[in-house]
Amino acid sequence: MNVKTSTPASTSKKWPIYIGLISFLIVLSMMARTLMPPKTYRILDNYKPWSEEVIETVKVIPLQDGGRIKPLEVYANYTLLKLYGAQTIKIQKNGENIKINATQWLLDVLFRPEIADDIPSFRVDNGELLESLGLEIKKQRDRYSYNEIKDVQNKLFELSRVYLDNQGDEKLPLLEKQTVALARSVESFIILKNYFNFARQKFDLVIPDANGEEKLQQFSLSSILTSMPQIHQTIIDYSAENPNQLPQHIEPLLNQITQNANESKFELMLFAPEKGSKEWLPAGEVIWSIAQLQDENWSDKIIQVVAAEQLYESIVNLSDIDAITPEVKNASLKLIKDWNEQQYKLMNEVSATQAERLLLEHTFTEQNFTYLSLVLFIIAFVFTIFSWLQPASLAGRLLRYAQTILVTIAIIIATIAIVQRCLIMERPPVGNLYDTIPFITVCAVLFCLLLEVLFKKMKPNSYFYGLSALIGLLGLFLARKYEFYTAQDPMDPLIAVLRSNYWLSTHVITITLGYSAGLLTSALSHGFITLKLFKLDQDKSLERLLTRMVYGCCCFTLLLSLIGTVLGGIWANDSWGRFWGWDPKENGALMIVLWSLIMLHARLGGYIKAWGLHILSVIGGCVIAFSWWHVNFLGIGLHSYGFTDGEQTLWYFYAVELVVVILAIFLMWLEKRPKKPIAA
Amino acid sequence: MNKTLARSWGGKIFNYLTSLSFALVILSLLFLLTWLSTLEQVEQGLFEVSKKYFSKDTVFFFPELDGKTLYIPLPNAYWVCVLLFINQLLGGIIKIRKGWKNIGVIISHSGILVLMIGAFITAEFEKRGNLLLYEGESSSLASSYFDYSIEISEIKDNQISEIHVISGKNLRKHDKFNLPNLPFDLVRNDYRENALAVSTKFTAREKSAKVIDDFFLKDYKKPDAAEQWLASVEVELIPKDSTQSKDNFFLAANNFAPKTVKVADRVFTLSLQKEYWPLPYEIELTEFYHEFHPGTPRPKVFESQINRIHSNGSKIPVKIEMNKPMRHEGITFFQASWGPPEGAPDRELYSVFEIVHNPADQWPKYSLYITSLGLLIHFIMKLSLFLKSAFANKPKKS
Repeated sequence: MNVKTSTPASTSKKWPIYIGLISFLIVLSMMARTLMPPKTYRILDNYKPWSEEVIETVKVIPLQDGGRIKPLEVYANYTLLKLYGAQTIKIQKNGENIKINATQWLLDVLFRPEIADDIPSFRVDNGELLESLGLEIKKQRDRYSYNEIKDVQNKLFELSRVYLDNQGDEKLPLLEKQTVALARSVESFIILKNYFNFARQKFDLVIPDANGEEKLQQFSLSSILTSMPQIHQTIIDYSAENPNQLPQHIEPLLNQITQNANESKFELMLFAPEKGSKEWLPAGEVIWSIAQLQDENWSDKIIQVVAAEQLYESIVNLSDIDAITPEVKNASLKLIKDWNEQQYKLMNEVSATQAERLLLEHTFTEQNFTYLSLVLFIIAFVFTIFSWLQPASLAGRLLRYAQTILVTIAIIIATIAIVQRCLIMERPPVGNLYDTIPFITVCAVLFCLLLEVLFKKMKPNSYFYGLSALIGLLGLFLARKYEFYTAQDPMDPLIAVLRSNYWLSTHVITITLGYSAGLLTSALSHGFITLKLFKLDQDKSLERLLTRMVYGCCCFTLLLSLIGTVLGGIWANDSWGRFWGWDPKENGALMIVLWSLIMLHARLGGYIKAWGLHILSVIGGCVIAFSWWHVNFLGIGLHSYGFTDGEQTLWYFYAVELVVVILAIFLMWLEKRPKKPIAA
Repeated sequence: MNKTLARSWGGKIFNYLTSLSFALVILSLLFLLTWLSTLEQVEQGLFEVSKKYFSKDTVFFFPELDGKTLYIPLPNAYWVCVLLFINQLLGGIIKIRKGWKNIGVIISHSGILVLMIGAFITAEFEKRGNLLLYEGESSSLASSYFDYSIEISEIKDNQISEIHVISGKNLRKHDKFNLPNLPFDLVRNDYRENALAVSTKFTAREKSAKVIDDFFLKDYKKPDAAEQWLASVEVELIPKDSTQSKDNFFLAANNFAPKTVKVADRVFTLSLQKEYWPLPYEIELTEFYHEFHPGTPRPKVFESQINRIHSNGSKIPVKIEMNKPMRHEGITFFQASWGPPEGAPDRELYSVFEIVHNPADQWPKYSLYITSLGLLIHFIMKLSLFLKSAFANKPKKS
């Protein structure tokens, strides 16, 4: 094997490299910390963890949320993320650290609300908010349980209503926005913890027993609903003589039925639809339609309520698995599985692959390949850094092999994750803003690896493997940050205008490939500037190669961006009747095309040389960031995603790139200034 | 070009217009204009920014950023594109060295020229409108989104006998209208893009506001969507018989009733309304279907089943849905929207079609094919040369 290496710089000249690399490792660790769940351990000695078997069975309960059917665990993940800011909560029980994952947390809220009330479920980023409600705060940013907030919840809701009535969601200042967000989180929590009250609360009725003695007995909701025709008749008969009045013994029954129905008509759409419908129903709607005797098959719906009550009982039984017999445990687990099977059967009547896709989504969530890939890229890049310090040594070579293997595995599993998403959603890989991030990252890494394969013989130190690791970690870190920041399920169904697999496969893919190529071009130029800064390339061959690569990648960017932009115009012509509307997203795409043209024409005309090309390429990265992200923050145009926060991060990026450009100009000036002649 | 010609003024201008440096200046200007127009849209809205940056009516303008005017005159993008067209044609096709090395560049430049010609044709000749139909209804008239016209209807025997139209384009451009078939002419004194005719009894007026019949025109802030603007105009009716007196009045889009006048024993009604244009066939909406993603307000599907009724009586059933318009006889119908917005399953729904007549409708597609071919040829050639030289220079094994 060729082992041509660059001549290593002398040790005395390496110190800037060490400083640069250590600084980068510090930045990397700070980034990694932001992804980890908070370290606060709330002490909950009375907490009883759910068994793995129960969690695994419950995770695949199907429900409808956000317009699509998904497993319970996905719903739990994003609900907890929205309320708490992470998908696991750490507590301490009798001195032992325990992690509660989102499914366990949701099980606590639904089936053990008295325990859930003590779990710190709400993230509050601004202590001022709670101070304004009259609470004492521990830290400026902390997590709180429902029990800690419940005394001020009415004031919280009132404030939230006032803020929204005055200004509406979009224009609120920060503290008010946070107040509204917390109010919504608390409201969601309350809805979830009361959801199964219809199964939890019994009806206390005084009924004569077999001996004629009147005794207080408890009845389930389903048994009361079975008697709805008789209850209706009783009301009709009574109100014939007593208009606008209800029988005394009936009124509390109806009140409780109404309350149960109202408490369970939001959040969890658990009941698969009947034939001919696509809309899943919450328990409350089923209960209400029976109570109203709304349709002829109301008695069939009682079976659904009975099944839900049994589901509730089973899961409650399983909440303390040590306290039940194996027979009860197995029967309870079987009941949950039967519930799932019944729902899958109904799902498949609407779409034959629905259940399969749900289980695939469960696998996708469990595997979490996107996160795993990020970890592998981080490790690979750390190896890269250390291998560059001593490239010719045995350690350097071993680290390069390890880096190569890790990057290869990382890109394979990241690609698998994208493919899984395509199969789950039955659409091409890019359908929303989140989808663009892993796709662009994977494509940029693949382009980089292609460069590595093409030029390995010229530069066998795996520079491009190292660069691909850096691109991979930055891109997937961005994906994770975006997912956590928006706290929304990124697999959302497409609106009508986007529901075209043809255009999603052509225009969207081409444009995102154009972004990938443009970002790679910018990354290569950053590599060039780094080489120049630390004088790492003694014979200049790598610099020359990078310059030619940047030119080539710029051509590629132009090709993809131009084709993608025109395809977008043709799609717009078919959707809206106009090829071009000066929409911000369209303008952003045009700016990338124009910038690439400027670079290529300036180079062709000799107006810029190597330095000029790389400086323009770095600015080109900002143009892509503007087109990809910034236009969404403007809040206008047909492509606005309503995502207007996070703009600050973008400005940091622009600031960093400005520093890079200024540095590059300075280095260029240093290089080009006439050197003082050496005295004879 | 021989040296004498090149040294002449004409030659120098030609050389500059066809030069790479000029191309760079144009591309940079376009980049700047695109960027600034995107940012300015946040404050001004798309329609206003389009008029300011991209219409041929202005040559230079001052951009605004964050509500503040930047006193740097910039050329209007329309005229910059004209210069780009000249540069591409003369420099990128005519002057460029012909040969296999540049064949890809020439082809791709040609493709861009096709795109630009298509854009100019669209800007000049495109007509856009919309049509709202309830199920069971039919119509052969499209209504413009933005243009208001004055309709003058002659009333005979309590029926409309003839309609004369002063088109929106003319109404905005000219102020005097000679109407040969009518006993009067019209003068447009004041045209407001978004104003209402309001009564002095209920609204305070500015001192300078002209009052006619206790009404004056009051400007309001323009909604972002230009199709929601309500135009108003002050009109002077001048009878051709000079013995008859002139009449001044307002016509406003928010008037509920037209203005009635009697001139030379003939009765006319005048109104200001969105301009209609006739279609070559009638459209009948037989069924409209819409579906939301369950449990969300997000639209999943909306599509219309129509009959296209031709003058010979033939009825052709067609389905129009998002991304699948109907194109026939040079006119394209798009499924634009539906309503009412709060429509429930048992409420009567209407379907809204966007109607476009654009002679250059498919030109972007043709341009794409040509440009892609040219770019691919050029870049594949460059890549092959690059790889060839890269592998030829690879280090030899020791």
